[in-house]
Amino acid sequence: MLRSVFLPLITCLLISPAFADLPKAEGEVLLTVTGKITHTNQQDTAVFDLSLLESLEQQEIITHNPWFSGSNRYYGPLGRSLVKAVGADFNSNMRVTSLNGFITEIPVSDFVKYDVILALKKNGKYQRIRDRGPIFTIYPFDQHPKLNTEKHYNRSVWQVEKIEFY
Amino acid sequence: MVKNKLLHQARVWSLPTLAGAFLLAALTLLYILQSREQEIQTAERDDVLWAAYQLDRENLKLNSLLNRYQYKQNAKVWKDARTRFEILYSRVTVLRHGQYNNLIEVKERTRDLSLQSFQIIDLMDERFFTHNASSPENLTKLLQLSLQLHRVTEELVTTLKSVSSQLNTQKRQELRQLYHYLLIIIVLLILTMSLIIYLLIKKMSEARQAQYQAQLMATELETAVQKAEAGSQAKTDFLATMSHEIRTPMNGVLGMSELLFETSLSSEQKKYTHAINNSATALMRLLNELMDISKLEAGRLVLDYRKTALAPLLNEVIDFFAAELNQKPVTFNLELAPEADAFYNTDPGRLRQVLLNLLGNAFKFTDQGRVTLRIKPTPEGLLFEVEDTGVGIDEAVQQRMFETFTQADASISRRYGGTGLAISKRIIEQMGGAIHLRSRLNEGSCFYFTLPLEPLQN
Repeated sequence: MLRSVFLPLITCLLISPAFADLPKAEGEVLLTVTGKITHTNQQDTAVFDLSLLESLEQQEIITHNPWFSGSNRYYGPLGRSLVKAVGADFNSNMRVTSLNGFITEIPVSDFVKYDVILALKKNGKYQRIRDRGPIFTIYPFDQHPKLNTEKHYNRSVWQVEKIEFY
Repeated sequence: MVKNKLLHQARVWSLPTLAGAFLLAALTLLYILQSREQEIQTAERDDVLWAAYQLDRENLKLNSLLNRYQYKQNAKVWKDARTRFEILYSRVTVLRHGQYNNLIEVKERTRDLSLQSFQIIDLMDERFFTHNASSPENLTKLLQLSLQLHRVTEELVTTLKSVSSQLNTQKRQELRQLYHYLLIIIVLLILTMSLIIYLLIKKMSEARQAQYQAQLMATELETAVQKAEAGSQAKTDFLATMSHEIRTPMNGVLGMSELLFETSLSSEQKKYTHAINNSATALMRLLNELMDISKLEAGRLVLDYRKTALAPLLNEVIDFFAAELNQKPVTFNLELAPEADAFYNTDPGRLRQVLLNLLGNAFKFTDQGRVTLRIKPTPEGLLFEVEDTGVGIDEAVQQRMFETFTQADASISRRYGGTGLAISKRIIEQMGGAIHLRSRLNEGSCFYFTLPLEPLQN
């Protein structure tokens, strides 16, 4: 009797970390993640609202970038933590789409090599769409000067809406 | 001379220096081109253009959404339109705050247009945030503003495009100019290099030619030497044969003249017979010397080494000159070092011949004074010195004294009357020694030689 209860439970515990579903997104959806991912919360996609994004590991980056004068303080979930949360492969690639339909491809390895964040706040304030929010991919340009190339400027996508792993 | 050398050196180094200068210039140009390539300005300009274009495009999208909302009052469409406006607004900030602000002010017109677009968008922003933003009147106003913005952004795009093209063309022209210079320098470099290579090849072929010439000359010289040697050999052979052939009849003459003495002769006949005998003896000696020379030349002189006591050999030689000593006011000294008086392994006949020759010369050319024969041991062997106080020999002719058939000069030659010195030299050399001469005109001469001889132990 006892055995018949425990066995499925143990099996469930063993498997669950790998296929655990993400918590449901309650608020307005800011980010939709699709493609080759194992952790989902809405059919085969993972959707994130603000609180879900803020539940991931956060990081602050103070850096210059080509779009704003001076150095600014950005804050948001680490790119790595998002990849982990959706259970994507670190050797895969991302197709990042912004609100205006701009599409950029980024290798996930960038998120492993550098502390790239999906910035939600700039200088302590949430970024509005008109401030190029709500999600701004920020590379640590000042910390890694070699990132100051056209290629990485291009990967620093703003108004991120969708990420597809492939 | 020094100036010439400097000039030559300058000429030698001028080409490589020129090539180096061209190379340096080419590298500098390449560096400039490389840094120009990396200039981000072009990209930034493109970004501004892109932002302006995006502004135009986003405005059109907004416009279409607002139009749709006018026909169908749908909350979702209105929300989309709001989002679209936010995106449009973000485009303005790109133009307004971007680090390439300075670029957009390249031209008055672009600045004016940008300012106009900012103003219009600010007006639209106000409209979107009024109390009844989605009212039909407000909507019409928003559509009007959108249309106005479209005109401005369209012109902005075209203006920026033309500015960009102008700058691009200018830049391209500059680049083309640089490439042109680079091409010229490379051509010059190639020409200089070709010249250097040409000169090197020329120099190499010249060197090869010279080497070939030298080889040719060496071969010619060798043949000449061989010919000369062959000629000399033939002469020597001829001399040897002739001497030998003449000696036989000469022996007949000598023998017969001696036999003639045995017969009864008148005093006059005796005198003639004596003359015949003397002449024959002289001729015989000359023939013997000739034989010796030819043997020496041919390397056929065989030494007859045997155990020889030095003192008796010397006495024998001195006795030979006893008669001569009585005729002239010349004294003779024999200085034989006591430690040199011993037995030696040598050819006594040839040693006697050499000493007779040297002493004969000494007596012959010394009219008064002293002749000394000195023998003493040295580390190299036994030193023989024949010293006289005779006429001496001019320094200029001392060198040729030992050459075959040569004497100091014609006058000495006449008095000398032989080839003894040359033969002595050859004999001494064959015995492992060397003969030398020191002499001063009118003061005397000293011929000396060292033979590698060591006293035998009993």
